[in-house]
Amino acid sequence: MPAYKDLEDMVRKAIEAEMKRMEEIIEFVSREVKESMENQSYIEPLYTEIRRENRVVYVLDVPYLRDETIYIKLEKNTLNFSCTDNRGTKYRLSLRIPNDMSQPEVKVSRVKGRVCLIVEGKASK
Amino acid sequence: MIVGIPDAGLVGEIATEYLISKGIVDEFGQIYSRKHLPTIMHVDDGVAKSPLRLYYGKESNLVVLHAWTAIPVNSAYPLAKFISDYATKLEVSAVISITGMPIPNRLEIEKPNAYWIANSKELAQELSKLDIMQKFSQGYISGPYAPILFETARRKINNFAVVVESFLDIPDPEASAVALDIVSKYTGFTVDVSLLLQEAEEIRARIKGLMEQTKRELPTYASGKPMTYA
Repeated sequence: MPAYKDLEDMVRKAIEAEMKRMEEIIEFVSREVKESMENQSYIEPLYTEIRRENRVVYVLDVPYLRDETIYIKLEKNTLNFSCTDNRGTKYRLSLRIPNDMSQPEVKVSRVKGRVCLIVEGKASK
Repeated sequence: MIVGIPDAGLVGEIATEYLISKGIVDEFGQIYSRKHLPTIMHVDDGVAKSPLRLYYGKESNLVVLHAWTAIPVNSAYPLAKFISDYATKLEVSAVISITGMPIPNRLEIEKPNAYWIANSKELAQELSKLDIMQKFSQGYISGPYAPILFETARRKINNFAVVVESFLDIPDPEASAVALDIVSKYTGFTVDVSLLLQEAEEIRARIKGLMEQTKRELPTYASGKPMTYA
């Protein structure tokens, strides 16, 4: 009977592995759908980009902005920005920072009704 | 005649829309072209209309050509020809184009500078005498206003562009206010731009879609270069 038991174990393990794989796929698809639905509820603000030697200035136009909702996160070479205006519209923008900019730092200010993001870093040679 | 077509910072577009919204000029005509205009209609108070329309103000004696949509590059010359034909027909004293000149430090300057570009030496001499704007000495102008300068010069119609420092791809109502102030002084008809500045935030919110559309259209005019540059 050991041979029969081995076969049963093998089938059970194969089923378990397949179920685990299916669960991962379902989780991945759910995550993608959720992300996609979240993105649909955001709009991209108008922006302009000004590049200088060691600095990039992004000027974002978000009329009726609620200052306290500004959220900025710098991850590797991507600067993520989100905010909400006082009409409830949500804005989101992902900006690629130049690759040659090392240890970038972000400064945020509000100038003449626009959001000014200054990314400054040491240019690597 | 004042021409407001979407380009850098929507400076001209915002300026002429302000004249329309404040009732300084009233609509009297629409321009249709199956060949040259995109398949877009501007819906105004529930009525679909051509996105290219003509307005007239009796008191101000101003004719305004206003585009409610971005003009494709292939339509720029036919439009310039139309403007020249129509300006000849109406015997206008001058065609005034309003446009923006993108500058990198736009956010840092308090009041944007304004320049003029004339289509003839005689007009340049006349404009040189004014102290309301400076001469745009050397550089380039591209976009929908460039062929208007050329076509009107061919027909010996006075045409100058009021070029105001602005953003390139975000709406700039403050630059439009500067342009309107200059037009007001040049024509002698007073336009109060204080409301334009007060309504700037609302204008920016309303005009976002047009700016996005214009942003896609602009690179086709000059291979990614700004509209006016030295």
